[in-house]
Amino acid sequence: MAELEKHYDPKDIEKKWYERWEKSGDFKPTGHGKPYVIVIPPPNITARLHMGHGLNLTLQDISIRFQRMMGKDTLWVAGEDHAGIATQNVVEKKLKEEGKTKNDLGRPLFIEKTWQWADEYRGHIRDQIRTIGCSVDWSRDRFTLDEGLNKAVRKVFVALYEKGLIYRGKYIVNWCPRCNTVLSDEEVEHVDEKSSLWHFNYPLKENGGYVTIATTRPETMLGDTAVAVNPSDERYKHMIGKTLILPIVNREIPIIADQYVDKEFGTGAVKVTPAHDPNDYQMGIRHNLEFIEVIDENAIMNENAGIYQGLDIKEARKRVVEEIERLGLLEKIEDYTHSVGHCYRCDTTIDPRLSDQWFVKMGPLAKKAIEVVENDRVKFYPDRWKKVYLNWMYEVHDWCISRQLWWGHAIPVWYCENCGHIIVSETDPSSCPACGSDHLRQDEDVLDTWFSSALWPFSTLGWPEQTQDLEKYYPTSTLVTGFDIISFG
Amino acid sequence: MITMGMEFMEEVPFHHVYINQLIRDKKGRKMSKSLGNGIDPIEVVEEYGADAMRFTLSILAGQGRDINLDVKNILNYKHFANKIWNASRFSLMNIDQTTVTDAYKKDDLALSDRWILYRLNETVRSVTQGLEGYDYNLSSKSIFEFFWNEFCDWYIESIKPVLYQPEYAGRKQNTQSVLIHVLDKSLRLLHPFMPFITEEIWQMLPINKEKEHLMISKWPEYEQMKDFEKDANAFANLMEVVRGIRNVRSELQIPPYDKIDISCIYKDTKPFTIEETLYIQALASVNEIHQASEKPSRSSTALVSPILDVYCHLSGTIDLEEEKVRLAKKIEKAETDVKHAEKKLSNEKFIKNADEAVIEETKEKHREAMMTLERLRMLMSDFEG
Repeated sequence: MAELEKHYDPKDIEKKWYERWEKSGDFKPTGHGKPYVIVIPPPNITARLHMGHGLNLTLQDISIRFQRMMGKDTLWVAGEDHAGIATQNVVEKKLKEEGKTKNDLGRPLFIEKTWQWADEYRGHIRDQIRTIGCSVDWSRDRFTLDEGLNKAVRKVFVALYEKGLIYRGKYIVNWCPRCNTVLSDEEVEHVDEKSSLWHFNYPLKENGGYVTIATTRPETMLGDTAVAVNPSDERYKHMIGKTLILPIVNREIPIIADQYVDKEFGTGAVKVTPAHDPNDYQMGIRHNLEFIEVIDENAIMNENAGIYQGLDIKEARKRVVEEIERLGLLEKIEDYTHSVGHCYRCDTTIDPRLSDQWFVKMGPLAKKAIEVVENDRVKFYPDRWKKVYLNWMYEVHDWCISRQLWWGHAIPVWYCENCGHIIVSETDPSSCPACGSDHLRQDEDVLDTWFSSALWPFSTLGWPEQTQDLEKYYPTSTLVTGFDIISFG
Repeated sequence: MITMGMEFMEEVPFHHVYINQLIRDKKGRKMSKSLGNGIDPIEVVEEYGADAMRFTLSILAGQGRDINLDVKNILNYKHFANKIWNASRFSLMNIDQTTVTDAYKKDDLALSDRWILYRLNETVRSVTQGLEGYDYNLSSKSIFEFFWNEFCDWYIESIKPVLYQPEYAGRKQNTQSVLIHVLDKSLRLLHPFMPFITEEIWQMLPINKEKEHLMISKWPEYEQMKDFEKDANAFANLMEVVRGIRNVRSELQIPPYDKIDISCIYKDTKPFTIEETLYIQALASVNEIHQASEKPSRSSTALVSPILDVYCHLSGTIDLEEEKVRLAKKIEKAETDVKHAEKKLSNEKFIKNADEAVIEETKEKHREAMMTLERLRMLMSDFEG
């Protein structure tokens, strides 16, 4: 007679059933009925799953199991994310314990080592997904860095490049001077820090007098190319368009009016350093200002910083303030707490700076993505996220897709060392089509992890090959995800 | 993903996007390494099992709200898993496994059978609708309340006489069929939330199964059961009566073996049928049910409703004066509780600074204290009148 054990003990039951289900093939789609498909938002391989994953995976599995019992042809595609910067940091840390750096190994060996590590940790993540009971189809398990995905990534890169939607340009980026890499906004953690608000007087060129500006970063004044006020600020209305003499540097800079300026902040007049602050960068674009870099990629003052060249930021800040005071232009110093961006990996203070990067021009691409959400062909649950998504997409920025890392999808761009020709190709070229030289150098950067993630719903089903899965299971049914995905369109 | 899907597939990548909640700690703070307030899901599974964790997360996943997670929540749903286990174990031990089928005879059902089948059907509807609209909270709450409150606390209790007592032998087989039918369907409804425990139990059910595993079995379908509605309502009324009598019994500390008489004033309903009488007698430990036109002397009010009033007769062993003193003390305490909660809730500082959970808890305490107070005052007025 069938009888249950006296006491409920989840441990044995859960292990036993997961193994049986997986072995039976019941996680695979049946091939009958209307498809119901979810592609897993791939968890990073670098960390244990956290409770956010616990929730995300549980809700997906509930929907998948429900639809499967409803008789749908149910597929949940499994997958893990190679997590560019995070994984590279873990491996670098391990090397450091052995007293080595990635440069000691060289790129190929470092990548080989990272693959070993990644394979092992992928296994751990898969086990954790099993532990939660997820009925994913392991026979379709994908990795954001696997060969098929690399093919998809290259195809997309080349296609967008040929359409003029990928370009190389200078851009203000979140720069971690320790990791020497660009970080996405999501990779920057903001922490409140106690600091000061320095008030400097910038003299007017004519008729004496000055404008007092307030700043949290005195050292960047060396790169100022304007002072901005709010156009509706009565205090400054009569000064708009006048010229100031930038102290120390003695450069003539204009007073401009911009809506971005907060009348309540400091004196209502702010210095504009387009090369070292993201908001100033935008003002620089709007007002056609000069971009003068004064800090290099290691957070050291560069040749444009004059006598401060070679100093680190902290020292430069101290000396600039001293000099301003000596010149009698220091109005006051206030205590000030403000939010400062830090690298989410190594906690170093972020230094916004200009850098040569690859970009995706988002405007033309966003058009259709906006349309399908506006007319509910893609429906958000809860529906308030529709507005959040649309607001984001209406103001979408061009997307910086290059990362100064080794671990990731290599950018499929080659430079001819002989004639400088740029080759953008799905397959590795052997010689330059312009001059025939075989001295080619591949771009050293890799693509932002999100570049491959953006293709995930169709690349995992086999694209660019025209597979049966793609035919049958695309478009997928549901994406269950955290809200941070919104910014990736 | 939408941009690239439109560009390269010329089709949306997905039809629905469900944005899941942010998980915070019990005080509503973000979980972070520096605060050390994270809860590790793998450790939770080790301690409570994946099913308990999954159910907790699902029932807390209300649309548009963040989740404040307390390990205590998970323990609560571990208790639910235990409840499922024990109720299933009880069911399996009290059916004739060689002869039972889940195909009950529809024309030979008792009142509580018809009620539970009706309630099951309603639960099928709400769980299904919830899951179709990604309302995980509604779905899990619905199956939780059905299984614990209705199936375990009422249905199983209501059929115990049939399962145990020889005079009901004729009903036994059909009751077992309903029991196993409801258990089977409940396990199916619970499976997406708690896949492991439900699969383990389902495998033990002595019924014909269309599939080898519960995970690929058929989801229950909502049926037209209009003809069950009247009986379902009748049983629900009866539950109200039983609750009222149980309250009186508990306030006056009358032990379960001490059967009492009750009097009913039928205002807008027919006197209880023989079947209904049997349920009340079994579920509320009642001896005889009298029909009355006014409240008997030496009685306590169990229920006052638009359709009927119910009074418990108090035996000679209860010393009314002593009870009055005891009740007065209890009333005093309940009044203090109410005042205490009211004071807190009217304190602006508290409302402004306290965590939402604490405020909710205080409100709940206030509600409970008010209800207790009302009940006690009703009892007191019985003694004084």
